[in-house]
Amino acid sequence: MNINLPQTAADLLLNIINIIILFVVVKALVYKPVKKFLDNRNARVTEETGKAERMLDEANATLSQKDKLLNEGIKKGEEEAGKIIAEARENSRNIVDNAKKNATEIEEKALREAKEEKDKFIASSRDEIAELAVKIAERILKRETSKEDNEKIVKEFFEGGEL
Amino acid sequence: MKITITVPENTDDAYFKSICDGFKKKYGEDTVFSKELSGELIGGFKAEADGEVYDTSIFTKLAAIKRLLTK
Repeated sequence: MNINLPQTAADLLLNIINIIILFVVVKALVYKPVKKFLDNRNARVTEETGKAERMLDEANATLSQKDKLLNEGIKKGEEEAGKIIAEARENSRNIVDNAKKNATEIEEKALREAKEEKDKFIASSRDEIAELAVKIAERILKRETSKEDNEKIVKEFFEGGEL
Repeated sequence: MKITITVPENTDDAYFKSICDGFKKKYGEDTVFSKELSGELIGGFKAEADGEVYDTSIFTKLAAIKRLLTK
């Protein structure tokens, strides 16, 4: 086999130059635009990702605030409901107490009035009985008082020192 | 001295005289008496002498009893 060294070296050099030229051309025509494209895309992706993250943060913050407001609202509502219930209980207690007090006063008044009526009736009955007894005594005495009784009255008057 | 004596309607002159005799012992024999009749007295008599009133009637006693009972 005969190897032509100068031809091989020249081929090799030519290949190397081709590769270098290819490298330069590819770098100039392909690598840089593609890299630029990829860089732009990365930048856009980064920007969009950042935007999305910011929006997510804002959404989370809004959600948190909403939860906070909701909890505050619930708490306030529970407090108000508790106050209203306590007030209603207090009012109903007062109503019951007043009703009891009124019932007691009414009962006492009724007892007092009944006693007064009873006392009035007893006094009036006593007066009527006394009057009746005196009228009966008067009638009996009118019928039964004798001449001797009158003489005795006169004698007791003059001898008894009333004159 | 004038004395007015009120006696029950059903009494007689002897009764009136016994009252007059009794008053004469205090006021004297020249005391003048006037007689009045009352259906109310029941028994005893009433006499008014010199502004003083003497009341021994059963009617007045019954009225006092009634006042006591109704007090």
